[in-house]
Amino acid sequence: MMLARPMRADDAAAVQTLQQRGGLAIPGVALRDGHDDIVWLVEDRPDGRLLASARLVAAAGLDEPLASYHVGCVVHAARELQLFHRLRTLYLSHDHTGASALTDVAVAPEADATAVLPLLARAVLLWIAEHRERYAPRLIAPLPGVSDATGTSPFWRGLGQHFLAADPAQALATHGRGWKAHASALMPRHPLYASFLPAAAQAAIGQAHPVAASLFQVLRDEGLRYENHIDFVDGGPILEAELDQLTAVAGSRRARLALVDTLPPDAARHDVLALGDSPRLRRLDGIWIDGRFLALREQAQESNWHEGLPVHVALA
Amino acid sequence: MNPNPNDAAQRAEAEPARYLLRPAGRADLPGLERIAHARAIGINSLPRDRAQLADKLARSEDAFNSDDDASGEEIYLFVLVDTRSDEVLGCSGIAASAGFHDRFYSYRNEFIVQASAALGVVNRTHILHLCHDLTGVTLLTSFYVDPSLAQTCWPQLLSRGRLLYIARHRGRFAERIAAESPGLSDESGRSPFWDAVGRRFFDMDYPQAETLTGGRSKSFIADLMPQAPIYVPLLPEAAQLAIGQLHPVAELPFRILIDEGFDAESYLDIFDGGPTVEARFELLRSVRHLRSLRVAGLIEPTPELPASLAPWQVLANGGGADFRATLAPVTRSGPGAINLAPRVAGVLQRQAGEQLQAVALDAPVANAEGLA
Repeated sequence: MMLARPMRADDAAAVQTLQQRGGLAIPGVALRDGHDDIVWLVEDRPDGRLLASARLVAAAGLDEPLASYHVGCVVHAARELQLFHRLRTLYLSHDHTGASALTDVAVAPEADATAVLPLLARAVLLWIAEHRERYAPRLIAPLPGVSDATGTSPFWRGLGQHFLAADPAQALATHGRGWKAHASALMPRHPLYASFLPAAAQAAIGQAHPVAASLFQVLRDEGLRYENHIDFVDGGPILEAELDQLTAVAGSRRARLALVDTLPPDAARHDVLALGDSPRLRRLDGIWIDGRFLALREQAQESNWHEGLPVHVALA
Repeated sequence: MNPNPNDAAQRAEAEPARYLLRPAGRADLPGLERIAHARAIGINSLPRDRAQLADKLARSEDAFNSDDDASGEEIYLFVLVDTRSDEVLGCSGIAASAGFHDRFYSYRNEFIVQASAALGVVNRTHILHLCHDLTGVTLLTSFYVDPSLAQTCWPQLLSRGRLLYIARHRGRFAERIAAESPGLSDESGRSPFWDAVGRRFFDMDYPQAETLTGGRSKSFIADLMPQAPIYVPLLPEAAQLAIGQLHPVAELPFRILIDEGFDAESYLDIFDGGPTVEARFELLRSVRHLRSLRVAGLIEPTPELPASLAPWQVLANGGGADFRATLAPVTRSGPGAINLAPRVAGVLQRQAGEQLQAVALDAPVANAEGLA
């Protein structure tokens, strides 16, 4: 059985190890830690092995600038010459200032990402749904961009490198996670024509690293979309959504847990976030009826969940 | 290199008023046609087509003859003529107002400094900013000199004589003056700057783009070009190196303009990256030092005062279609007065007692190396 929960202080070492083994981002690309961050974990039960982690940032870019490139389009046309050119532009923006962010996703190499990541995503989204006022209208999720055989990003090499002669991983090691905000101050402020970049850098615009394929799919299934913003360091796509339009947020409901020995035939698989002192999310069969969530006593008791426990549920 | 008395060009060079700069007229069509065909690809501002050239000459003649208020549309073409043979050995021109019907586009060199104290980095980034700064300025155009005169002082007359004409007709020209120079390109007209910039927006070679756009103004092309500044570090190295670089054929006229005090650091041609020099007219050396002198007497140089030792001057006389300019030594005869050799006075059509405009040549006359 898998279960998602917020990180505790005594998880720190294990989370760090997981980030090193299974971090999806190119080192140095992740967002900086904020005050109200929650790191969500997925662990295997009963052995407690860590399978995945992700950081939920309540409001990004309020302490220091959060930059990204907006990928735009301009048309240059001359009818007399029969020329009609559609050109991609890159514009350094801070469009995501104040948005909530899902970042620093890591999956243990031996874990099945297609099973673990949906649970992680649901834990985060149901948590947001329960605490809607703490989070922004918009959620972003930066995905890692592509890198070449040497592990470096062709996008950085073709663009960022000209304005900051540094390797992102090295810069992270030297300056810490705040390096990115400082680096953004050195990046070009005028719109750029993508066609001026080397072919490999152009090809990297909005392309997610293959290691993030499952994450991309899971977030897409939840309703997040690429809306023409990319990471300014590695060109990776930034997925985003209006939180209130996500099924997991708009279609989830509060309830009190009701333990039963037999479920009605129309019961279905749900993601159930148990609230209270130690929030937990797991998948359970059950049904929401009039503010009560009916679940099997036997399954609920595996997690020591008791009758009347406040929960937030959504169809799995 | 020492002057060689057997070299015709050297002898001609040493001869006062051997060549005359005067307005071009319809009768100069054959001479200018020869010049138009002698010029290299891509640096040609004289049309090769006979009818177009004739039209340009007609426009020029009208401009020189016009007493009306200037419209800004005027072009003025001058020819350098051998006073012995009447052969045309060079030409130069003025366009009263750059981009008259439309905008005149240039790239302006700018530098952006971005800094991060935390990362210990200060970056000075060169960008090219598409601008219309030079719209409406007066343009010096169409410089060409026969190769046999390239190493002499006569190109000075060809270039600077125009300034004396402008000085005479101040109200017909702008306060600022500029001149385009061809940038780097190879024999086939291929330009590294165009290949890195314009080509991305045109999918064609520059000569082809020029042909396609035909007689249309360059602003037609410029509307297709990127409006946002170009970050130079993102350009291929060959294109970066071509920024502000001259085509070798332009070195001679360029150096004359630089010596005049033109600024070559600010503007570039948007197509080939060649430098577009620019200055405030009143601050040019020839303009600042221009004097009006009275011809006191017509006196042949004497052995005590050989022509070769007297200070050579750019001399000009007359306005409109009667403008004439040449190079010759003069001797001072009193305050604001000079003596001229009769032959020089004849070329300029001046008599004793009349005024003419003069500015020191300041370029070695007898040294074949010396135009710098």
